Amino acid sequence: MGQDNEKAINKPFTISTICLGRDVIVMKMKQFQGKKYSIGFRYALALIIVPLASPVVVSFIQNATAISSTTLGPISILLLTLAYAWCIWSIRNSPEFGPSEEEKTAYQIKALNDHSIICMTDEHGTITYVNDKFLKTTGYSRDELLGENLTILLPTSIVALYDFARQFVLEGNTWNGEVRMKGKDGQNIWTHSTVAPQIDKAGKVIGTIAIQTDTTQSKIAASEKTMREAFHLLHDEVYMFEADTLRYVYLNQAAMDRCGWNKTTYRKKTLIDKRRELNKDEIFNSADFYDRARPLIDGEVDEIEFILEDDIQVSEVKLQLIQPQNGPSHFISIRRDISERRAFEQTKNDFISTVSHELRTPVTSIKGALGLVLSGATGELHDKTQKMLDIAYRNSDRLTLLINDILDLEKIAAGQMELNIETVNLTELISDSIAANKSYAARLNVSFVGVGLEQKAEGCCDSDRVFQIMNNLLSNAAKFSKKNGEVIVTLSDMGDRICISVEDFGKGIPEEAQSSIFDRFTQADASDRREKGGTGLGLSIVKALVESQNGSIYFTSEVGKGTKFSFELPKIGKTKIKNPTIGLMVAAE
Amino acid sequence: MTMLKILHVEDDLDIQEIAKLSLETIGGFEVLQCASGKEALSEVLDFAPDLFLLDMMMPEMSGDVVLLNLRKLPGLQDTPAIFMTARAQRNEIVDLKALGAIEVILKPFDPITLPDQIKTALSIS
Repeated sequence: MGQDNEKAINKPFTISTICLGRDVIVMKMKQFQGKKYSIGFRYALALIIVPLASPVVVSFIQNATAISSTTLGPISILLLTLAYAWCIWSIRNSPEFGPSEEEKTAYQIKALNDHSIICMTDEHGTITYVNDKFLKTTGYSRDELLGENLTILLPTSIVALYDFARQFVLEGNTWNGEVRMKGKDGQNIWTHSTVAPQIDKAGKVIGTIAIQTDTTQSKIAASEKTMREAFHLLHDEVYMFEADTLRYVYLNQAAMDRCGWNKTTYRKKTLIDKRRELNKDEIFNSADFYDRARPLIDGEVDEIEFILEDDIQVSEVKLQLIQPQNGPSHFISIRRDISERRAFEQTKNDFISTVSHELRTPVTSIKGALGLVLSGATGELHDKTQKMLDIAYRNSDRLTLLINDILDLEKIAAGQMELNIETVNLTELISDSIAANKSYAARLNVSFVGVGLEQKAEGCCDSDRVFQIMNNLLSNAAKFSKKNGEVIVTLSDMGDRICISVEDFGKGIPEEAQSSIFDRFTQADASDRREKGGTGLGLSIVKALVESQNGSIYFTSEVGKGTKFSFELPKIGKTKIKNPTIGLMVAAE
Repeated sequence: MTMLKILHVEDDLDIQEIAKLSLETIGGFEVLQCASGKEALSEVLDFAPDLFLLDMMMPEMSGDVVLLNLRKLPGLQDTPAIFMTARAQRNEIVDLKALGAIEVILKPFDPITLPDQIKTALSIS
């Protein structure tokens, strides 16, 4: 075989030897994948095989070329080094080899940091580490959190659960569960959390590490889904539409039924379409709606409530505006069929009306007849007859009061007590009520003293009802005062409310009777009713009347020293428009 | 001085009796009493009253309807009217006043002071 031929054979042989070496190594690597051989062991394998193959390679080169041994030496070392480097490089880059353990750990940590909210605390719960995602989710800066106790991120309601979980982890366990945190702006952050102990080399628990997955979005989505499903089943009609375009975004089943639309059609409709389709109202436009919804848009009221009446039913509609911080505003209107309630109210109203007529007619005759006889209009009376008739007359009087009081209570309970709430000059009203009760008190040798009646005080209330309240409190105070006693009536300004108190210095209410003093048919002492008169309904009416005017009533009393009843009335009315005749029918529809 | 003539319409005969005693004996009025609106309408022109005193709740024709019908008769357009009612609902009182009543007296009424109440209402109007 000539030298040229030898060259031709040896060259590929040299290359194939190197390739073989590489393949063997790769093959070995493959074989060792998944086994616990260290990287060092694999490198050593490469280091043994390549040097073993190198003398063979050198002798091939020598045979194949005319290069002298002195030149060949360094060249062959260079070649060998290159071959070795290539070999190692190809091992490292072969798909079978994969990333190093360090790289894998680094990748995992990065992925973990991208996915999870991570927080470490010491054994006392003080925050020692938070990752970037933690800061991004909660809105806090690192400086604001490090050194603080983790409880600053927890709503008070779950602190007890947190303490339990922390204790559990500090005992060396891992805790899994759902945790709600509060962000810097007070927003709810729902997380699924795994909390594990941090253990030092001595095996002592030195803190906790919490890995949390933010589940807020799915939580919101789930709750919205549940809410919508619940809305869907409501008998009330629910409409939700965009504040700027008035386009519907949600109608529940009842609303769809009324409009004759389905899930796909209503999304193309607006409030104006509905108005035109259902009410054949050609002239109604969006400006009309915005005019009427103005108090909501301007934030003057939280809710607009009105009554809609058509041939078929009476409905009560409530309109609200929802303005989330991030996201579009929506109007939501809920329409409830109150026909049955109305019918029931009407029946009850008729009943009260009938009863008051039927009861008062005979009482009118009894009282009238007795009054005439007692006045002497029918002739002189024998003493004993006079005495008996006096009793009858007094009791017919009481019966009248009782009927009036019961009917008043019934009306209040049925929500039929008509209240004419307006701004009332309370100074004047209180002075008038004192004047009106003066002669009654004088008969009992009791006098009224007004305090603070020189200042101007205005309240938002029904003047007739406040007068009724005052009559009750003043006559009570006079009744239970000692002879020649005083009753002090005080008017005071409490900022946003006016307080009126009526204080007597009579026998006071025993402690055991205090809790039930506002109950029906209650008087502190059962013998009081006969002795002092009254129905035992007065204070329960007073309380109901005060409360129906958004006021409050309370008292202090001490046996032997006296009683002080105070009631407060608001200066300004409630921020809620209630006007059945407002005709704001469009808003809801 | 001529006696003031009052047309009293009241379906309850006991109350009629009491009111009669009160208005005639205590008040010194001349009184014509009718138990229904129908009766009142047929007798009112002969009597020519100075005042109507009308019960509100009556079968067949309630007090307000009686007044509306009385007003249709010649010479009775401006005759003052007072209602007596056992229903103390505020809106009803307002409605009755709107109908032209000069006063609404609540039942049970006090027969001793009834004549004075009537005189006061008349003098104010």
